[in-house]
Amino acid sequence: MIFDLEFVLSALRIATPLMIVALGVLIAERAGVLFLGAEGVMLCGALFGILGAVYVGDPWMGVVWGLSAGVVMGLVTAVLTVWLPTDQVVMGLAMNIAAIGLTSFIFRIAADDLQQMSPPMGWSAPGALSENPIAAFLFAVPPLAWLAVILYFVVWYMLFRSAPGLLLRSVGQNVKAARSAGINVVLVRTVALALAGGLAGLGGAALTVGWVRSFADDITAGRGFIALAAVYFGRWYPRWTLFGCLLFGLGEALALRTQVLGGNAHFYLMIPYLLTVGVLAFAERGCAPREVGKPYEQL
Amino acid sequence: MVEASPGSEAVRLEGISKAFGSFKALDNVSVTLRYGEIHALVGENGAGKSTLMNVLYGILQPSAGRMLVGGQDVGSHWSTRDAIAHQIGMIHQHFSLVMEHSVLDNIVMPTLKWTDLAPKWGQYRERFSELSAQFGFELSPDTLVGKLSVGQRQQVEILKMLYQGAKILILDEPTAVLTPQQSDRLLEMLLQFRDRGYAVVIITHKLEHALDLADHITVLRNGRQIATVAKGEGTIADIARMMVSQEVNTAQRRSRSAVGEVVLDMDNVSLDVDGVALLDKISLQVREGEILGVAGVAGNGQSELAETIIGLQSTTAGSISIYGKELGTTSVEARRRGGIAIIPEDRHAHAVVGEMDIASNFIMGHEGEPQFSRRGILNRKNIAEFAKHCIAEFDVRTRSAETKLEFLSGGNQQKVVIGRELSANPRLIIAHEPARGLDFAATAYIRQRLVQAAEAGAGVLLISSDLDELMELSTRVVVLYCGRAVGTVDADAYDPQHFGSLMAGAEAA
Ligand SMILES: Nc1ncnc2c1ncn2[C@@H]1O[C@H](COP(=O)(O)OP(=O)(O)OP(=O)(O)O)[C@@H](O)[C@H]1O
Ligand SMILES: [Mg+2]
Repeated sequence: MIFDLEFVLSALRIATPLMIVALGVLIAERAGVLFLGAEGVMLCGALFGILGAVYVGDPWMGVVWGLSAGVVMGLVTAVLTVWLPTDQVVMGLAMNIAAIGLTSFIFRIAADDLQQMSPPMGWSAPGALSENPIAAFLFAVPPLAWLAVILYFVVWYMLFRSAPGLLLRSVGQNVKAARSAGINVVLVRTVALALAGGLAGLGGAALTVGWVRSFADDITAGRGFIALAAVYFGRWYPRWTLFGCLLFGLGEALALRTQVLGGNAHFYLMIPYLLTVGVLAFAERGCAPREVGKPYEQL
Repeated sequence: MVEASPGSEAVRLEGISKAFGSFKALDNVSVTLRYGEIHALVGENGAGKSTLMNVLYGILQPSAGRMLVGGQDVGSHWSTRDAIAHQIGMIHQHFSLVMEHSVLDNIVMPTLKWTDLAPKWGQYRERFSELSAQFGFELSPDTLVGKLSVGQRQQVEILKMLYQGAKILILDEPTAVLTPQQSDRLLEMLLQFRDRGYAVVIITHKLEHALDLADHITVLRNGRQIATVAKGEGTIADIARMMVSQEVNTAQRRSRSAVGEVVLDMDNVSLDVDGVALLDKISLQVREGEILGVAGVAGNGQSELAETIIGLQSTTAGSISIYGKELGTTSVEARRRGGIAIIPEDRHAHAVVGEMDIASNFIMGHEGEPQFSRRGILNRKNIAEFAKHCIAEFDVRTRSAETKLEFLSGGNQQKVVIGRELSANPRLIIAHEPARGLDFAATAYIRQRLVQAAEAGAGVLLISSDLDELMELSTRVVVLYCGRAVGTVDADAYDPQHFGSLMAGAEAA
């Protein structure tokens, strides 16, 4: 049987990094900055996550390293696209290419230490519960997947119910209105990008530390872009964004399963990406926050 | 906060200067605002009115001068946050509302704190209803602002200021986008504010409003303060003379040329959207050499009329022809190339790109013409020359043609739109509120240009809420009511009473 609990778990493992990165992209774009560099930031988070996990010997420290690397990258993005400001598309693409070079370079230096897999992340059900299939399943769900779900609620509440959320969304929709309300647009976007970078880095760590447990060149393979697509698919709402990520997770899990059917493995790996393109093509066109992509110049 | 007693000083601006690069937008301007008084700020387009108020509101930092609020020098770190904290509120010339957010969200946004994780939405809602009731607004807090009419958006802006607890109200050309009825209501409201002890600043191009309302009028010209006149110390003519450097000829004349062929022929045109007839069997003709006026209370089909002719909306029934050739479903581009020019009501939505320079905005839509480009390559030299020519011809106050359009004053942006549309030698001109935001000299000039265009053989469809403008320029005026043409009036046989009842739909059977 193709669809069993293991299949669901595998889909969740795949979707977790996407969900976390997508939340980051969502925050950045809600503040009016195009976060095309998400892919590169994720890649850095993936590498530093592994480094942390291996050198400290604790996967959770890997998560912290990945997150910190992401925050730094997010701040770099802020300096380039908000403070200067330069073109957000060009800068995003440049960040992605730079990240590939940087991570490959550091990976070569640390290659000897990264031979073995990083320590596993997870918890096992206490003896009494391990017999219960539901409890066993809940404990088998990767910890970072739980974190992603919690983050989803936090981000949703913060964006759509709290005061800072409304202020941030106003910056993303109309800088004139925001300025007229006395909001410091540059500061808000800097903070938003630090958060977004942190989440993208965390997502990268979730990919390596939480799932694959090793690093390889360009291991993210476009997942940052998939997260970006999920945000567009979700029309800049957390709920639908999350749904988009899960859909991709299911698609890839399916591809992994169907590989056993034989044939060219790359064909199956194409499925989730095709699915993404298809869903995007047919998804009702949403309206991006108005200021996304527009450089903001202070008078 | 100091208690604001009527007559006490609210704000004193002393010797304010503001330079953008080497250009002096403000030069040593001093103004005092008092509680319980209305202060009007007048001047030509680009005189520096908005700039002065943006300085007071903390949007722009002055290059020189000092500001005293409530008698205290505010120093050099004056931000919008500070202005709001000192009970200053401002409505900008171009609205600053978030269209995608609800009315309530827009109104409370400026008062929210970054640290407030659990805002008391229920309380805000109550405070909102109280304020709306107090000032007689009828707004639903949950409607998206983008779905509101312009008049209602203005109300949201006003409520936003009041909600902040502003006692010093700045309104930058608040009546420019309003119909005469709406603007009368607004002006009455300003008097009400004054009587309640607020300090009010109004920027306007309607000198009669300034004279009626204001206790003091400050006249700016080219960034310099020409005079501050107290109530009753000057007439419209005096103030007009102070505003402009040279005498303007405001004499209007109607096109006298004989009318020729039919340019625009609308035959039973209807437009239904979601079962609502926005246009209902409209038939009208515009001939060469004629200015046909369109009157009506705003929202009775004027925008739709303009949009169906230019092709932004497709009709549900009927036909529109230019020189007998039916337009059918031809694209906007083809229609423009075919000689239709349009000065739309909302320049930001439909006519200009703020992030692009003035020259580009001048050729937008005509960039494919041989004089501007060959095989897709733009001819910079010709474009620059053309822009320079237009800037001089339409008196656009700017330092260069490379300035981004958004840095122009509101009225000068409008001149760019008009310049582009009239320079294309159109056969049909749709002018929707063409004088919106223009000072009186520019208004006179534009009206004269429309008349000249008609005399040169173009047909002009003038859609306006300004009855004087309609009667002065057009020979006939069609009245719209609920999407229907309920009557046509000869300008020579104008009878205000009859006209009013037409506009109110009293004669629409
Ligand atoms: N950010 C800016 N950068 C450069 N120049 C500017 C900027 N803002 C305004 N200006 C210039 O300063 C001058 C004054 O502009 P301002 O907007 O104050 O005019 P205004 O009196 O409000 O005119 P209007 O009646 O047309 O609104 C204009 O010449 C304008 O081009
Ligand atoms: Mg202005």
